[in-house]
Amino acid sequence: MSQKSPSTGLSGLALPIAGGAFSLGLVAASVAVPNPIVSALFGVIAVGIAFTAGKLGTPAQSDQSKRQADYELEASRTLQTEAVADEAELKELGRTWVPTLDKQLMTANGQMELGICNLTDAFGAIHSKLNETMKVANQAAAVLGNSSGGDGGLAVEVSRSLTQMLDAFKKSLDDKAGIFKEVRGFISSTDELKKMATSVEELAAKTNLLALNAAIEAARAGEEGRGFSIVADEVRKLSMLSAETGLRIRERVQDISAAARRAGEGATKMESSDNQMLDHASNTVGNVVSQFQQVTEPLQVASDKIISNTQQVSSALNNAVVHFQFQDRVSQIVGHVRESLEHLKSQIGEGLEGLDVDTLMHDLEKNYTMAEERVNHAPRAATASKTGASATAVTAGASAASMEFFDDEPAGAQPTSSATSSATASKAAVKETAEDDITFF
Amino acid sequence: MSKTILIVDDSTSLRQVVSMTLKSQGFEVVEGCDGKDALTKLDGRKIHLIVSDLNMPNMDGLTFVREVKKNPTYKFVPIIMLTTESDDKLKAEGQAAGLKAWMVKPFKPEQMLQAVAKLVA
Repeated sequence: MSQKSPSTGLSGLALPIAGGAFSLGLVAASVAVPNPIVSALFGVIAVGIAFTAGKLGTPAQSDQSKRQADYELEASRTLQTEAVADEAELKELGRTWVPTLDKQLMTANGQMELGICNLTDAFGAIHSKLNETMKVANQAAAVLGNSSGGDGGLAVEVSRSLTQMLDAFKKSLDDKAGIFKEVRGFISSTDELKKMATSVEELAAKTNLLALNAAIEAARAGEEGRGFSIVADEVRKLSMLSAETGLRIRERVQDISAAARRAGEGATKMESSDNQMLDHASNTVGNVVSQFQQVTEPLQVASDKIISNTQQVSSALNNAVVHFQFQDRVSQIVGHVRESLEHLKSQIGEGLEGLDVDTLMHDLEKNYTMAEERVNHAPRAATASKTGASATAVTAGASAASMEFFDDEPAGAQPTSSATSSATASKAAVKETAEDDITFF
Repeated sequence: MSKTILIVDDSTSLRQVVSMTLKSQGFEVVEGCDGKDALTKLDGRKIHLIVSDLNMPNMDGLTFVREVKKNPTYKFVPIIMLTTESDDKLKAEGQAAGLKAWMVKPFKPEQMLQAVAKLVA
């Protein structure tokens, strides 16, 4: 509902009421103006009628005073007839026209109240749905994080988890690289072992040659060297055993060395494929995170937009509903009009004698609660156009100074309190600020 | 725990409007359709604030306020009069009866919430 709607609704409804009041005023004026005016008016009409009748009647009559007496008699009769007819009409007015107007006003008021209640209900339902939407959107926003970045967002969380996973992967590769280094160290150790085995074989060959020479020397010594030749033979046997052992060590070392080399080559291959895998995983994680951000960022923007729009719609809705307050005001004005109509009805039920405009106006005024009503209230001499103009002026003024707060101190003890009881003119002067729209006690 | 506000007004639509304004800020709302009805709502439950109309059938707002002030459980509950009436004499009467604020209808939601916040705090 737009800002202007309540006042449009108000004036729309006020117009028929004013129209009714106006026609009522006309009827009332024609039957209820104070007696001297009625007499004079009816006198003139009666004289006019009598005069016309006289002209059409007997023009030959010459006695002026007799003719005058006839006129007066005729006028008096006409006046009496008309007064009786008016009295009956007036009572009929109270019996039929006033209750009809009252019922119409009651129906209008009832329909408006029902309509406004239904509208408020409907708006309330929309409002609670909006609140639900807001809750869900806020939950989504809490998961997604807001679009302006910051901690706690889903994308940030995903990126952090994946980075942690990558770090764990890198650490395990580093551990593996340590083992590979050990394996390479082992390869160089087997080379040394190979050299040592060769040395053993060389030593065995030299010992064998030495034993052979000793056997030759022992044979030359004859019987004397016989014992020595046995020792030389044993030494030769040992050297041959040593040579065999050396050979076997060399062969084993060669096997181990080949295995170690293969392990080293495998480790190198594995290392390069691990590095490739790490690069790949890094890239994948990067892509996933950026793709995820591409998805979540629009979602974040959307959820932010939903939240801000819902807030705006919700507050617009609240403001719109607040405008429905016009119904309460209109209902009160209509209620006061109806009470006055009821009063008029009871007055004219007793005929012309019962009609008392002063009491009617006074009782009407007593019921007023709104500044607009008081301004609309026309003293009997006031003109319609003047009343209309001032009513508009007060409608504008009254909506401004709509709230006052009061201190705990009694009236007049503080400046704020004394302002409360002071003239409306001072309130109009400070109506701009919200603080002055409210009275605190 | 949210604060509870008692709204007293004979106009259903007005009660709804005030209720919506307050509920949107998380207040709990209890409604009474006139002074007499509202007194029955003061049944021991915790009420933090009362927003009452002035002109109502059965029991008007000022009588209602005076009755509340007689009740030992509720006499310190702040009361805002929310009415179309802007007459200074009646305002003075309201102040004497123990009102905390006087708000002229139609109210503005932000004003209402500002007043409520000030009095409920």
